[in-house]
Amino acid sequence: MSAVTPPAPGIDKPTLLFIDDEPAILAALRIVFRSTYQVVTTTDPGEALALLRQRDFDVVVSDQRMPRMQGVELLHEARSVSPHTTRILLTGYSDAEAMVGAINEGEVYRFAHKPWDNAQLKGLVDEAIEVARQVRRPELPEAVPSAAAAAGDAAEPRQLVVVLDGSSKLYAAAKAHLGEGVDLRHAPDLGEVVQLIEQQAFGVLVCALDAYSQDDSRRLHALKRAYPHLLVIAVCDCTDSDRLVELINHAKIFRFVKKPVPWALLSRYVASALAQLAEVRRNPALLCRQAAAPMEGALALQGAGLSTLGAAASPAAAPGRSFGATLARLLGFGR
Amino acid sequence: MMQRPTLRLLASAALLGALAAGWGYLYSNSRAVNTDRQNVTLGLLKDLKQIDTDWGADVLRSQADIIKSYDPLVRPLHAIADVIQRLEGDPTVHQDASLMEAVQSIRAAVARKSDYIDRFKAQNALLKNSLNYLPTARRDIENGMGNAGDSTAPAAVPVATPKNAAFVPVRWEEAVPLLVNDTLRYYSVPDIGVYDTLRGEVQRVRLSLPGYSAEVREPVGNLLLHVETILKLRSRQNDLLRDIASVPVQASVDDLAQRLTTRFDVALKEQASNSRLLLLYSAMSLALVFGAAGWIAYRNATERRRLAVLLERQTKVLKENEAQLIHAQKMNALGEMVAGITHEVNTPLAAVRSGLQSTRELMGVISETLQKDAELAQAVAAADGNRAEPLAQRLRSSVEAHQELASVDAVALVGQLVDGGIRSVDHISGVITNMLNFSRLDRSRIAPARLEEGLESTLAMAAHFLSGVSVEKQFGDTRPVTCDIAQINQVLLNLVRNAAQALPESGGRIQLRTRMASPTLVEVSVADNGSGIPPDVLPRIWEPFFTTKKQGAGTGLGLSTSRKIVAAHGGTLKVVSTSPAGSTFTMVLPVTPPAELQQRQAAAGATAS
Repeated sequence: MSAVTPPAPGIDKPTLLFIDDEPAILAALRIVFRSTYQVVTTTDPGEALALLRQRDFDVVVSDQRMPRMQGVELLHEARSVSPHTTRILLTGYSDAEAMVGAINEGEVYRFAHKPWDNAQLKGLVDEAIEVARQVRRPELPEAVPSAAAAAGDAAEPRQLVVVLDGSSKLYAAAKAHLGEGVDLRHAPDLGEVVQLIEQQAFGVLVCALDAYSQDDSRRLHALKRAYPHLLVIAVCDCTDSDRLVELINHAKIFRFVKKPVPWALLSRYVASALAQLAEVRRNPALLCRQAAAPMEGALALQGAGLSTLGAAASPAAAPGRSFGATLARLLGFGR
Repeated sequence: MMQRPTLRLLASAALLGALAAGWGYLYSNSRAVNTDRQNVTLGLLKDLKQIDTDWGADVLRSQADIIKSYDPLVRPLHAIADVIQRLEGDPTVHQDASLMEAVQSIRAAVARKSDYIDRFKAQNALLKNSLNYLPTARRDIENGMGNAGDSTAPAAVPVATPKNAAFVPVRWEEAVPLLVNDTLRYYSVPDIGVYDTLRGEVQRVRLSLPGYSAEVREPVGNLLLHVETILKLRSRQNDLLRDIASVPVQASVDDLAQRLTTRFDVALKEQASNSRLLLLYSAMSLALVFGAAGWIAYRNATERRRLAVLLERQTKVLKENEAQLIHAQKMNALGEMVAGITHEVNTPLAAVRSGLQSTRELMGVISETLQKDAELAQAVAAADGNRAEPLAQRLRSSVEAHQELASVDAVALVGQLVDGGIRSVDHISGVITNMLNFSRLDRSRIAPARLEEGLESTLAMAAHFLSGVSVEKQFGDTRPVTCDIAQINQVLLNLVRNAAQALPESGGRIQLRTRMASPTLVEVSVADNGSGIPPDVLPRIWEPFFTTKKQGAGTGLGLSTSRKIVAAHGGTLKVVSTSPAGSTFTMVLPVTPPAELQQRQAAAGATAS
């Protein structure tokens, strides 16, 4: 059963697809979004996938717990059916396993909670629409000067992957398991990471997270805000749903891996991160997908904020100065 | 371990065997002395002495010519040899060198005696021969002279010789009877005086011999030879008899008897001491056996008692574990229920909340429309002009309706109601979230957590019984603790509930403190200003099923379970209570729990799923 608010003629209204097994939720969502968006709702995930094949949607918002198909599964399918549609998981119950699936398989843009605040949800959806529109914009012509440099980068046999790991245990193990295809570097703290980015402009960071620390999320948030292109694979020994929400919404991690590390999987994730990076180089618009939402009590990477992140951060490495240059170097276009 | 009972059995058997062998040895030693054989041997010795005595007597009898045959002097030798042989055959004697030596000295003494007796026999024969000759010779001399009738002839007077000028010849008629009588007398009593006299007479007669007639001269000469033989042999015989008597056969036999007796006494003494030893040994063996039996019985009894106590304790632990398992299952079920509720409630709540928000947004438009409508109605009503009555009537009622709406401030009221609704939805949502946080099913079971957050979520859960209670929080900067926060929350809820129940009707105060007790230990204390725990109750509060609450109000498992949970986390849970001033429960947890906790949880997770 689907309900479509009739599109206002002549206006390119953003199109939204909502999937939930509870009609009351769909009704409420329709009321919230009906005025300025074209809203399609359905209780049937199968129908939702059919709709995604038929039409262009800017954003798809799915419930997690549904009778026939889980939200993660649906979003995973949606990703292949309609790659440019931004995916949001709306869930009333924070099931950590499902969330890990949503990050790794569904590549969701954001998590949203039930019950939601209308204004916040609207803001989130607007953001998602903006991302979708950016991604769908025609690709930049090859003629952009630095594209060649990007291609040159891509031709490098071994890509640089940095392991941020305070204890260096993860780095040692990663060296054994991943050492073949990539150039692994060890960074004991965030300062070192910043320094390495400034020098080598790498794009994939494997990050060992403290078992428990909100600071981890803050640090990654700061890093991600400063270097949006950076794809972070988080390695953690616990799955905590609150934390996962934080990591996806505010630190915008690329993948999440639970300890003990499944190395084959991690290796695949590193490979797909490198592929993603190459794709972003070709189409920098994709970068907007990597945007991290603002965070309360966020750390600033500039100035004093950085010095708290790592003792090794030298004044020379302060990223404020050279951030733009780095980005340009990495992404292949100037500002 | 399987071999130990067998080994013990073998050792016991060996010990018993050794005891029995020792006893047998001592028993045989204590029966070794044979009195009968000893008596037989002593009897043989007595016989030997008797034989020897008789032998000596027979020698004297033979000398006294009471017995003529020498058989009695030879026969004892055989008897003696027989006895000695039997002595030598006696095992007691045979085995003892000193006894054999004594027997040999008997044998030597007998041999010497036999030697002397042989010599005696030879001398005695000669002596007897000479003695028998004396009367015959006298008669022959006297008869021969009578026939000749010339016995008084002076011819008998021997011619004087120059050598014996003082010699006075004796008449043979006088000299021969004297010689015979004196010789017989000397023979029967060999006195030295008689010997000298006789010797003198013999000398005189020999000197006088040439003066005797030819017929007399020869027999007297023979007589003199016999008398001289008797004189010589008789004194020698005396010496021989003395020698025979002096051979120490009796002494040797006595010596042997003495030795035998001494040896027997020693053996008897030894046997007596062996008997005492046997008695002692038997007593000791019995004591040992009884002691062992007693010890085994005692140990069995002790073991039985120990097992009974153990069984009782195990049963108690089992009962407690069962109750705790049920409790854990309840908590698990509760957690699952909370998870279900969270989803089921959050979904309609989301619809309600969103609806209310949308309503509030719509209220602006509605309010504006109403306002404009009211203004329109008033304006139209105020404007002059004739209207159809029905229109005027509707206009009036519209104005009245608007006035009524305005008088109750209906739009604002609806706004307030919607806001209240949203607040209530948020409250419900908050409660649900807290229930979820408290049971923490969405997290992996063992994970780092801040105990302050646990306390906050516990306080939220406890809100319903904490109304009117002042809760003071003094939270330190603590490190996260790797734990099963759902379980730790249970402990905290227990402590807070107990504290709340101890509080007075009014003015109740609960203090929650956290701090680092050491770099790796986090301490949480829950203090109340309630009635405290009476000293008689204090030692029992950790016991399972102990409760001071009224029947049905508490399981009595709260504190015992709490302590178990804390112990499983490698921590401690203690209480300080002063009866009128209140109690302080202090939980100390290590930042990193023991490895078993994680393993146990993994196992529990595997069986639970």
